[in-house]
Amino acid sequence: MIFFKRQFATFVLIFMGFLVLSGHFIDYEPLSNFVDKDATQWYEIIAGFAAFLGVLNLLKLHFSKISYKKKNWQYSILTLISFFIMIFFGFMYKGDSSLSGDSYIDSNNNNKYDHAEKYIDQNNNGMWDADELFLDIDYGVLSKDDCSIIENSKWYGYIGYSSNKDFYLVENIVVNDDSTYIKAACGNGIKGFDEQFQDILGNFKYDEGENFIDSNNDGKWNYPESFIDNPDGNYTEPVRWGAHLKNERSIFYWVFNNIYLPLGATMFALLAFFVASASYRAFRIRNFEATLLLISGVLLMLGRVPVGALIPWYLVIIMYVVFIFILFGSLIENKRVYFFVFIILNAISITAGLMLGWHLQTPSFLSVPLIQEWIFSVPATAGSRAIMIGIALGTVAQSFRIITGREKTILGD
Amino acid sequence: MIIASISILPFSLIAIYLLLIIYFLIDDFSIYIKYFLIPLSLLVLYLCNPANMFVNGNELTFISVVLSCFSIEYFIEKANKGDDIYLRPIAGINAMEEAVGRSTEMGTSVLFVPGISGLDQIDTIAGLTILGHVAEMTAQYETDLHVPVAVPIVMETAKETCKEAYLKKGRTDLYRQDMVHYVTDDQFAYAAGVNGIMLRDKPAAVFYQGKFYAESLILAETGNSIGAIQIAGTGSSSQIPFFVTACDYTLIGEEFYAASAYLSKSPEMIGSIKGQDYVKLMCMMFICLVISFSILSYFGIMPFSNSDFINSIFKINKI
Repeated sequence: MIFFKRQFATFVLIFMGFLVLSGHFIDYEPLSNFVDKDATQWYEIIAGFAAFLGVLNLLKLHFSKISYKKKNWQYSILTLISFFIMIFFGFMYKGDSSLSGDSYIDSNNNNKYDHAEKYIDQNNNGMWDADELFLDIDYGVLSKDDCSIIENSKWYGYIGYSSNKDFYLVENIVVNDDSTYIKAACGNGIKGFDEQFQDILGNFKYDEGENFIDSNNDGKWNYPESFIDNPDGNYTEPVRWGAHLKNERSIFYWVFNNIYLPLGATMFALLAFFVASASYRAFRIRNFEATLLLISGVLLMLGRVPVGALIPWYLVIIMYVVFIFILFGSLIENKRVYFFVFIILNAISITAGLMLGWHLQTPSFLSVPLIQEWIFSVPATAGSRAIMIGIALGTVAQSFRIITGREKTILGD
Repeated sequence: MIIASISILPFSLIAIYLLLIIYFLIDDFSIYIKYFLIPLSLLVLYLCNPANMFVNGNELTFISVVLSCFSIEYFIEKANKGDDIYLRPIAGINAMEEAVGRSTEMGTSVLFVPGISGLDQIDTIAGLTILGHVAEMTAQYETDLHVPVAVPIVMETAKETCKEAYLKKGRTDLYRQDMVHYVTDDQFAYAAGVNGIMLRDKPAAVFYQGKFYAESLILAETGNSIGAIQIAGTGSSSQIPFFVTACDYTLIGEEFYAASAYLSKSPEMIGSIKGQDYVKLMCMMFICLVISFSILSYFGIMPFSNSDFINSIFKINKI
């Protein structure tokens, strides 16, 4: 047992580590397939089985809390009730009875209800005949005399027709008893078949239809398959187990949509308040770095909103002077001197700006949106990339330690 | 002429690297074979690509991997031989024991959050290795440990890690099966669950070590509100600012991955960190080189566009 837990586990770790690494460099299709697909699927299968362990752990923990009436055991009851409700609606009860669909007789044993166009069963023999009217999905009600229309209509079963105007030939698939098909001509009065149908599914055999005109008013499609009709007159497909989780009519979906999602959204919305409190703490002027953060933060926030573009150049100059005084103002102890220096510095900067014509053409360093763009794309990106390089190197070293079997803490060693 | 000399630059760098190794290691023939002949053979084999057995376009990645791995391996071996390796103190790692000690003094538990990703993320693995060390500390100080997890397979691994840590410290009596427990797979439901644990149990120390996403700030701010000492570490660069703001200590970038090695105090693990630092030094040199080339290219002295080879180097590799 210890062998499987230690030596064997370490061997598997090292072997798989090098195998996956080599898969990136060795040009051998089975190996690259294994790395890209199989290995990932293996992980997913193992993780899938572990899900049962997670559920068992959850149940055990909360049942134990309730049994021993540990601290805050009441919350465990709520957890277990919620758990079993979702299990019931997920695995045992689909919800709305219409999810079961209309029942039908599967005449051709293909395990599905098939589709056809509407027809009028004039001779009440329960099947489509060549001279009966049918409702073409695109062209409406047609008969054998409407061959010119039929020529252009979507007569789904036809496999070709002649464009000879004297002889309108429409070739329809006709199934005989021996499952062969013959050509049927329309327009020349020939009627050499019994079963004419539109092979909509293209499977060269007759399938039952979804929409139909109920000629004998028995409430169901008589040939070849029949179904027990819902009030809408249409056949309703049943919703399969599993698919019902995404069906709006299921109770599981209702609970998910109306309870689970709002709760998640509430937690996410809390983030806004946490960001505000975290920003307040980060922007408090405690030291030089915090001050720099505050200045960058103010510029970024102003630059990202439309009003930032409206800030005139002289206000930005004043802002710069304020920032300088935030950073170095503590060096001036006398408050009167501090005030005069502040005013004079502002006055000199604005006068210089006027003389340089900044009021006519504002330089980029006095435009708040451009400043924020620069902060975002230069210093922020540089810092972020430095961290990314560190993370990448750390990952390499950590991976190396793991695949060489030196780092075995995750194996419990 | 200049272009030609630039195009052989990567090979020159490799040659310099290898010559340095020879210079330092020539007295030991086995090391000479291990750190010169083997990597050189591998590189030559890959670049020659006999019978097209290697993937084309991954040459630079392969060179980087070989250089990194052999550098790390070299310093691991040096450390094993007894070389004294200095590691700069990392406040966040040093504070881990302090945080567990604080929990002990206050008579409350330690909460360890390993993130919401599975074992396919290196961050989660790094977090679990740190968990092993934290569990050893809690075993030693007889402090309660809570590890709520979001992924069942991580739960099983974390359980084994904690069990072995308690066994190692000879305190199996303190280990409880429900120490590591599953909460939920859902991101915000997990955040709500962990926040609930924090607000009810009020742990004195909270560790966030693993892969985190948007829930990081929700967790860290709640931890901050209960006055816990918080130590975070993650490889998610977008979450680092949130942790820096809300936590007392944050392991940034490679510090997070080095934490386990740092805590283990094992020479070979520490040696790997030194090797990693040398790889970083190489990266810095390469960055400086690229900057120099860019400046020269800007002034038209060595335009990049004239060299397909140089251009190909700066393309992203296949993986």
